[in-house]
Order: sequence, then C-alpha cells, then structure tokens
Amino acid sequence: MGAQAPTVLTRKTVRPVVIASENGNLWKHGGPRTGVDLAFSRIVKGDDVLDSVIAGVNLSELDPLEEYVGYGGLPNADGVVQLDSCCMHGPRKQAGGVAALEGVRTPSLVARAVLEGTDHHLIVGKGAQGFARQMGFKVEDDLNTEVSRQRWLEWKRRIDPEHYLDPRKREAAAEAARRSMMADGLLDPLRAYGTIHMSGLSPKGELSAVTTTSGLPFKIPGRVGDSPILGAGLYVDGEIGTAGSTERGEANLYNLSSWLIVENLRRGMAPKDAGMAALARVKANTIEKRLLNPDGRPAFHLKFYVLNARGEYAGVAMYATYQGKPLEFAVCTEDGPKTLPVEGLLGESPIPY
Amino acid sequence: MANRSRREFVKAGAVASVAVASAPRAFAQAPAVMTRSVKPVVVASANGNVYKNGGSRVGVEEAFARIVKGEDVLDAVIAGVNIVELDPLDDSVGYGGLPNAEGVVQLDSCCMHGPKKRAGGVACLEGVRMPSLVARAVAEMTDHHLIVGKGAQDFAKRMGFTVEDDLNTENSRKKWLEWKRRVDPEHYLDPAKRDRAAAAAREQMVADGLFDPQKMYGTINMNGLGPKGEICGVTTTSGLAWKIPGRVGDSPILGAGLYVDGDVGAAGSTGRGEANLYNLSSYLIVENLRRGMAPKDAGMEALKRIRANTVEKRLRDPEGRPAFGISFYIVNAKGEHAGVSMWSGYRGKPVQYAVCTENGPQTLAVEGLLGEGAPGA
Repeated sequence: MGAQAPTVLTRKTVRPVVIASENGNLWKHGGPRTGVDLAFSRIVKGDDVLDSVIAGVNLSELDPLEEYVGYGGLPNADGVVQLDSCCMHGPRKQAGGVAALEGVRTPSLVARAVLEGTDHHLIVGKGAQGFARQMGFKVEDDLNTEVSRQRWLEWKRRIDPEHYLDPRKREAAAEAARRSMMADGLLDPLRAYGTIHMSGLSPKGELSAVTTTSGLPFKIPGRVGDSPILGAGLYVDGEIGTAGSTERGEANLYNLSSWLIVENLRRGMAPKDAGMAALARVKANTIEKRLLNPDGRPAFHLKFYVLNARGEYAGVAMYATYQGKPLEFAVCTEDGPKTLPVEGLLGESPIPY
Repeated sequence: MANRSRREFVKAGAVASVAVASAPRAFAQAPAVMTRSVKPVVVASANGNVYKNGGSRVGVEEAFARIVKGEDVLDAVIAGVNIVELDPLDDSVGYGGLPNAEGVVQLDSCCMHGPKKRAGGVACLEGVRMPSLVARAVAEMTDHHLIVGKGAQDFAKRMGFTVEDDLNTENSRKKWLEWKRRVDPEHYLDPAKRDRAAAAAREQMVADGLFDPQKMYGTINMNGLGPKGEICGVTTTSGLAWKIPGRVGDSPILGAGLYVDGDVGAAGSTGRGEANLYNLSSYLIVENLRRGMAPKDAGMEALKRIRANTVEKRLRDPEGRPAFGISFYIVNAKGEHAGVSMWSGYRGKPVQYAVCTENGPQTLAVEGLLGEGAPGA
C-alpha cells in the first residue's frame, strides 16, 4: 500500500522514511540493526513515530563504541559526562528537552519524560537528574567508559593547569589540546561535535524527531550546545516537516537553523533549498575572525537533515567534502538503510572533518 | 555579498551620525526614515518603568541616558535591567526573585549584541544577583552561547562575580513557605501530579491576594536602539515561581526569550516561557520584521502562531483560546516599536510595556490579540 502511494500532499498515503546523521546507520549496540533500520521497522509496524526514532537513537546512546552520544560519551573538562537531548512529537505538538544531565545513559528518554510528565520543555543540570530519578530512571555515578576516561586523561595532560584561572585562555588551550589529539590520531577529526539526530515519517503522515549528544568533548562544565534546544538542534511541525542538526552547536543556537528550515519548508521550499538557505544565513552571520578561515569562509562544519511531510528529504552541509571524501547522512526506506553523501553549500572543506 | 554591503552601509551610517550625536537638538528632529542616524529608543516590559532600586531612575531611563551619552547599547540595556535584578521589590527578577520548589533562587538570562553578532546566556544560575552580566561574560569570554547549572556558577566565580549562598529575601522566602504549606507533600513523588498541585497552589495564592497574577512568569526584557543604529537586547528572570528545580523557560534561550538582528530589529518576551520555547517567537518576530512587517503586525503574527500551536486542552480556556498570558516587546532598526500581548488586559487592568525616548520614560498599553483574558503577561 505505502510503497505505491503517490508523493502528493495527502496525509494518509505517504511512504514512511527515517533520516539521521550518518551514525544512525553505523552503531548496532550488539544487535542486528542500525538505528535508522530499527526506527523504520517500528514505524511500518505501526509504532508511534517518536517512540520509534527514540528507539533508533537509543542504540547509539547505549553503544559504548559511539563516543559522542549517551553512555561512554566524551566527558566535560572536569571528566564528567553531561548529556543533552530534545524531542518533538509532530501530531501532538508536544516537546521536551534536558541539558547537562549526568548519570542517565539515555537522555532522549528523559527528554520524552519531560514532554509527557511536565508542563515544561526544558529541565537542566542537577534538577534534570532529580527529575529522571523521580521518573524511575536509573542514575549511575559515572557514564565514562575506560576509553572515554583515557581520552580525557590524555587531554588533561596536554592542558596547562595554570590556564584554569582564565576561561578565555583555558578555552584556547582546550581547543589546542583537542587539535593535537586529532593530529595524533587519538580523537576522530570527523567527529569534533559528534551528535545523533533522527527524524521519522509514518505512512499516516506523522512526523517526529529526536536529537541526543554528549556535546563538545572536554567542554566547559555546563556548556550547552544546540542539541537540547527546540528550533536549534531540531524542529518539527507536524503539518510541514522536520529539520535537525549536528556539528557546531553554537551556530545553531545563534541562528535557530532548524526552525528556519521548517519555516522555509512552510513557504514551499524543497528540503535541499530550505537547508541551503539556512546554511547561507549561518555563513552571513559568521563575522568573527576566529570563526573564519583565512579565505573568509566559516572555519567549522555544520550539517542539517531535512524531511518534509511528503517524505522528500535532504542532507546538506556547509562543506560537501574533505580531502575528496563526501560528508554523509543516513536514510532508511522500504529499500533498507543507506548512507548517502550530503549536498554542500561550499565544496571542498579547508578544515579537517 | 548582500550582507557585506549591508555592513558597509552600517559603517557609513555610523560616520554620518557622529555629527548628529554631538548636536542633540538637531538629533531630536532626525526623521524616522531608513537611514542609520535614528532616534535612540529603549523598549522593555512594564517593570522597566517601575523599579529604581533606591536610585533616581527606572531601568528604561537609565538605559536611554547611557545610550545618548554614547555608551555601548548592550552595556546600556544591561545597566537598565541590573536595577531591576538588584531591586528586592521585583520578586520575579534577580535578587529576591521567587525561588524554585525547593526554595532555591535559580536565575536565567541571555543577551545579544546586534552589530557584533555576539550572544550569551546562562540558565539555572544560583547565587549571582545579576545573571545578565554573567550572560554577557559568556558572550565575551567563551566560544559558547549557553552555560547552565553548577557549571554556570563556577564560570561566574572564575570571572570574578560574587557568589552568595542564597538570593532569597524575607519576602521571597515567606511566599515560598506559604506555597509549600499549600502543596501536598505526597505529590512530590510524581512530577506530573506535583506540577498540577504546584499550579493549583499558585492559583489559590493569587485568589487569596498573596501573589500578583501578572507576576507568575515575571521577567524583564529590554531592547535598545542607539543613535548609530546599533540594536541590542537583554532578558533576565528568576523564572516561574516555585518551578521544578532545573526548569528553564524561554528567557535564556536565543530566539525564544530574545532575538536581535543588528540590521533588522529586536524582539523579547515575558509571560509563559514554554510557548516561546516551542514557537521560537522572538526569532519569528525578527524574521517578520526582515520581511517588511511593522513591529505590531510582526508581533501579532507570532501570537497567532502560538494560538494555532496551542492544541492541548489543559492550556486552553473553555472557548478554546490560550489560557495564559504572553507579551512581546519589539523595536525595529528605524526605532518603531510595539508592545503586543495575547490578552489586552486582566480584570480591567491593561497589560503594559515601557518605553523611553527623548521625551522620557513612559508606560504604554500593549495591543492585545484577544481582549480581556488570562493573567500572567
């Protein structure tokens, strides 16, 4: 039925689809399926779309091999893993988020509990942990794995402790240490701001999405990026479409890019064009020298995953390739999970990805 | 390309306005047209024209005076809201703000500098009386836009802010104790029930005259326009009275509690923060200004979007309209401003906003999307 449906604007007859950042088609947490695959199979079985995409990202959150999301995520500057997530349910127009949450492996489920169990959209810090405990989540002392702890120790060794007194110098030192660890092969340059975003569309046209992350490795404790913020790390309008993001969160906190993309879809743009317009806005608003490459282009990566209510989708990025290798995103349809190249606003990246 | 030429335009305007600024008489007669030699203005929530913290000026007046003296517009509006943050009589902002459910004052703020395209915010910050200054420190001293919780307090400490054990006043503590008495302690086990019990206790205290219904989500937003066309804004609050610890509303979130585009305008908000976290209303308003709407129309559009997206029964009145108050304070690059609100008033009291121009501070009635209605603007 769904496979034969025409892609026109009727609600009841769309082809279901799941899209995600490329790690959505990578981690399996010891099971047979990747995240997009699992989410898609649940959607076609008739599960709620938000429940399905959350189940999809739970694989990444729980898998210790994924060092940028959930359990085993790289910790903050003090060695503490702090997680961020938000989610939106399109048809129900409900949303929830948590930031700087410690001790719970699956922050996306706590974000959903904020959506379902409170009048609020965002709970942060110690309050978020207290809330999770009251909702029956297991709170652990520490979400580090041996790998994430070793990486933090190495980073710590490379930072001059004197710099702790001046946040500006400390940040510069932290950034230099991150880069030297990338150069030495201890940190994946492809994953400076690793995060997972996943959006789903059901055959009945229901849209939902979730984003979850451990944030910038070795961040200032309490630093929050775009992932838990509605309109920044993701946005869903049940009638229109979804957008989500990974990489430099500050650019989205400033430009509310996910919200802007959904607004662009509302005004009739195709997913790719909607994403490109948001990237152009980010580029125009990036005027600080330290954020610009010597050639005047943004010195950071940013990716958007865009899905409209008809099931049309796009993965777009500030830069299309690094060293000739395309940046990627993940999709699952009735043809199974795939990893596809993104379209770039700009071509070859002058900075590592 | 378009952006660069806009910046050059700003620079040219800045040069032109130097002469104007040194001649205040001529400057007062400057036409309100699309040039960068504009009449400065400050727009704020109504409490911007109420509290003086023992001094001689209200917030909008202080900010306006600094702007015409040539100070940075962001510094000026932050100095304006500092008065309200420090004044213990405003129990919805800064020192003496009503605490969370556990009796702890947790403050939220963000600020944006239009010309510099910089922004910073803090959420759930404990122990610092002026969170707006910490938000500015995030903008100036870090690569980030948002720091929360204990991390935000540690950051403030390292930046030299005084961190106090407790920001309660006798007034805020007494009100919290009264609220605590009215909440069934059993409900503490189930956050959903506890939330409902907390709301019921708040409403009962409003009915008993112990609590100003307009202050339930009390906050201050203040936006300023300098004579050279620089636009900046700041929002600061202690958040929903007796909130779940860690609950964050719209105030510290760019695009929700505040948005500034240096070439276009500024919008900020008070009232039910969740509606703005969901709808990114301040950002939508600035987008509307960008597309040529007048400030009032831009704000009305955002209010309509909120109304359309409010589908949950518990958030609607029996007639299906939003059962909460929410207000926006808008100024565009020409200095045109508006205060708009979901409801025009509550129990005969109009919802208001504050403005300061060369004619001095004023409190004006907002335009309401709907008529008399819910409290909490």
